Amino acid sequence: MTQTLSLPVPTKASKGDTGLTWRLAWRNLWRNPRRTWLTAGGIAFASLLVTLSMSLQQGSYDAMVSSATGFYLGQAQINHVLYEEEGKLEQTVAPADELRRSLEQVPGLHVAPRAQVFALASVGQRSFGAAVVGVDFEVEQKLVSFFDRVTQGRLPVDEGEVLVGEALARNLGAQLGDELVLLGTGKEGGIGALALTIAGLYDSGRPELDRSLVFTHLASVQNGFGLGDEVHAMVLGFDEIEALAPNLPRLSRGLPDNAELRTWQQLLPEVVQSIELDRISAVLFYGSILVLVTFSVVNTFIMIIFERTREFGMLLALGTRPGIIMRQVQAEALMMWLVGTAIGLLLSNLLVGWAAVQGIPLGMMEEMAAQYYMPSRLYPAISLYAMSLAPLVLLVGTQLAAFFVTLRVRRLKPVEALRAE
Amino acid sequence: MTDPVVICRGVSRTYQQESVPVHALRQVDLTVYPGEFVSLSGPSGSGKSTLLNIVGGLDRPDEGSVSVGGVDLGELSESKLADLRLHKLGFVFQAYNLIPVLSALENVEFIMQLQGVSSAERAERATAVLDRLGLADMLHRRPGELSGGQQQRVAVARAIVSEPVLLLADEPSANLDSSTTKDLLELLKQLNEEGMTIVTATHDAMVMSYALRQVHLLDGRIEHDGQTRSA
Amino acid sequence: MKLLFQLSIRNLLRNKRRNAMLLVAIAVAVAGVNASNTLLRGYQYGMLESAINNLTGHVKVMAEGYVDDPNVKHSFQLNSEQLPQLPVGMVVGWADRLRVPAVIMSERETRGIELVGVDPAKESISFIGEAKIEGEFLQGADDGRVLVGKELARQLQTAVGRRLVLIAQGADGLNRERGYRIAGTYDAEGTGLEKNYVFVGLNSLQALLETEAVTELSVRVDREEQRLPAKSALRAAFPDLQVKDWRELDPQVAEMFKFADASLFIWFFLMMGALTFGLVNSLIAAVMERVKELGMMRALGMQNSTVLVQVVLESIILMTVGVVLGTGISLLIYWSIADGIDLSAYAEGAEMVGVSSILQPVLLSEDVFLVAVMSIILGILASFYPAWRVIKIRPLDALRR
Repeated sequence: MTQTLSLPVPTKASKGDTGLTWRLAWRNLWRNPRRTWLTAGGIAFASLLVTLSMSLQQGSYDAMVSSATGFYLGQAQINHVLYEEEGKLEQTVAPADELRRSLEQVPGLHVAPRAQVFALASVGQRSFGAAVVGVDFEVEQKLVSFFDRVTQGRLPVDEGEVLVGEALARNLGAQLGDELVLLGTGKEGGIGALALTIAGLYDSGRPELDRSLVFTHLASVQNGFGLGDEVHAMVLGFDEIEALAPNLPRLSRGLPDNAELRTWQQLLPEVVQSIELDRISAVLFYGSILVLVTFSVVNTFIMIIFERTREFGMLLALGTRPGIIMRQVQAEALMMWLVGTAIGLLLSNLLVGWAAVQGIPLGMMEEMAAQYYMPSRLYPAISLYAMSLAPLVLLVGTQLAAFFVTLRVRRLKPVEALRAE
Repeated sequence: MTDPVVICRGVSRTYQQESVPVHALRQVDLTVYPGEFVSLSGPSGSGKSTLLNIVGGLDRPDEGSVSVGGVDLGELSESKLADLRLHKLGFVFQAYNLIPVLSALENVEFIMQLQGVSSAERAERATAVLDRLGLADMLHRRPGELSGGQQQRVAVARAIVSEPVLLLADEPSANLDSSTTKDLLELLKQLNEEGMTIVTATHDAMVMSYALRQVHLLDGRIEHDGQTRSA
Repeated sequence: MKLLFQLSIRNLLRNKRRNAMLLVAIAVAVAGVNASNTLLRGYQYGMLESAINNLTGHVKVMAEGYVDDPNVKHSFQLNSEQLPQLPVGMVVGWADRLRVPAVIMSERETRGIELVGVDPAKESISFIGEAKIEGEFLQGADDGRVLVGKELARQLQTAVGRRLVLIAQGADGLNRERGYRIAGTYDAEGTGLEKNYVFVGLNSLQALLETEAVTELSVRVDREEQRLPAKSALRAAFPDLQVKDWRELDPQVAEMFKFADASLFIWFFLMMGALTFGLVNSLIAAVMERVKELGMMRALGMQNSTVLVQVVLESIILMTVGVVLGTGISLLIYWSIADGIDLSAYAEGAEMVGVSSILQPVLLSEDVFLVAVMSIILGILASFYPAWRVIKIRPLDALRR
């Protein structure tokens, strides 16, 4: 097999040679098109797969967080410092009105106060335990999607009305218009009681909530159970969730001494953790794909070096330093990476762009998705990180691969190499 | 007179070389009898290799008929031709004769393995023929460890081990120096004297001189077909 | 045939570096797929276990209307050993229970829960049979004490030995109230179950609610597939009642279960896809470098089909060695994590997706076998095409190259 070079290779590094290096690298790539396409194809495959997955993953995390915080608990809450642990009626945040007004100064922030009491709910002869939550329905609707899920009737308009979960209504044998009596212990120890008309029923999709939460106006709860200008939670939500983190210091200032601010990460640890778990398994997945493709690059370069042993021998005999030859091969590795990554990223961006507009329907997984706070369509995140991580890893991988395989060139004896087939 | 080993009648072969038709052979007639030592010679492009290939079943004529050992090659499918080459013919190529991963002994045994000869018989016959050709100490060497001349000898050993009706050699001396060529040719001469029919395509004068019958081709036709010595 | 093997092996040894690299890649791919399969299966089966342990069992018998309205009026009578004859070894255990929503009150707090009347001896089939107990487990169906989740006890600010009041609705629709002593608290490794279920002796609860009935009969079978014949047998034995299997009772988990199966396939193809590029490259190169040599062998009389077999055989040998290596490595990995991966740092997240906080990898021999076979088939396909291409070239032309 005779090998001919189309261009002479410089014997010593000198300025102005880089153009030559690249041109030569490019032509050398195409000496064996099939091999180049297959190797670049592997790189394209890996970069497409990983960048696309990462974008979708990130998109799904963002969606999950949005959904979870927008469902009921909000992006952050202000509670009494002991309330999370003990949940007692007297552990309130006060003065509520003043605090609310000062918080509302923050641009883009919605503040929803809630007071919650555990009580025995009865309709006629039947009764069940329930938690009665006093809220400001108007503000709540700006913050959470929970109150969009009314299935019968409507939201309570005045203090004498209540919103009941469908499951609880079923358990109580109650219907719209029935009177619901709530009996519990008031703040000072006496009996707290409310008699409310069922104005509407809701279905949140989570039976454990439907069975136990009833909603009425904040004032009803405060009056019925001996609370003054107090609430158990100030639920906070920005129009854009990204505004939360930068505003945290501001929100934490001016809180009463016995109150604390908890972010969604603390309110919804399961979301944080399941994202982490998913991230970890994704790393394993991506890592394996990238490792395998790097192997194929190593393989390719083993073949390339073997094939060109004679040619390298000749160059060495002519006086070229081994380092020059190695740099040449590294340049070829770079070009191969470039071709593969360009194709991979092009396809990936097209798909991400298309999916960002269309969304990917989750189909039969929709119900399951709702359980995990996922919306019914998945949108990828447009993220530089997602698009660049895999290509960069591949760049390092392919350069290292070429480097280690080409180290042999240093040990090549020109005369022996020339005799090689 | 016994039946001829090779009968070619009206053989023509044309092939395309970069959309230019090359008439490699034009209406060639050739008959070879058992025991002959024939050289096909001529300038490059004369058709000698093409004729050799057609006789060897490696190529098919566009016109005319070829029969070898009494079998009409035109009737045979590709796989039947392969069988014929396996059982009845012996080949020595210009280069690339031997399988690189097999030893000399194994290369000779190779043909017999394909033919289904038992392992004990194979070993015996291969050793015997290599011994006969003076390669007794090279049995376990791989082609990479043998000189050009030794490789050709092994190739000859392999070609003759199944006692083919015909030995075909295409430019056997092309990669060898003159003294090695001479050794090889002495070997072929000896085989021929023992009765082996040999046809060789060559442009090497030394090779031609050993042949008992020289057939000269020019532009795809036989120009001269003559005995140099009596058979 | 021996000749072909010999040729194949020697040819593979001709390119030691390249083939060694290929072997490593194949082994890594196979090991990676197998190892992640054990984790995926662990997740899948963990989810299944959780769902079944969660008082669902494989198959459940309930009265009509209970699912929508879990009231004691939707109950049925079970004559003690009435369980129909199911094939020997199929049923691992069964438990009848009386389960109703109730209110539980301690001195300080009140909560809504599900009160479950059980026969403790039968509850080896559910999570409560294996949970860690502080204090005492219930001693029998007559035990008039309660078993409360650790998290619930904390919320109620109560402890073992203290008293609680339970209010539940009787068969006549009226509430019944009684005080119970806490026999013990259970740790179910996840707060969801603990906050929801309070256990009491079955007979004791029946006495409170003035009924002799139960609301559910839960059956656990030996192998998951047996749920179908078990379901049919139970339907025949209880024609007026509803008989459902876990997939119908917990459709979300059933979906996830199927999804995990699909994931295994997708994962395999992606990994093999990544491997294929390098594999095909090597195999094509291996064949193309031998064009002359193969042409020569065919010129000497070797059949085309024989050449094809030899080339494919080389690929098969390479893949087989790689698969064996990879499978060996994956077995090592499996044994090193066989005790389970501790996810307790992610307990709430794990609970949300329905697994316990220890992820137990599951090695299925069908999975390993399938991976091995499919990998080898991949090797055959990858080498077939280049080999076929080479044979199409006439021996003469091959020799001339």
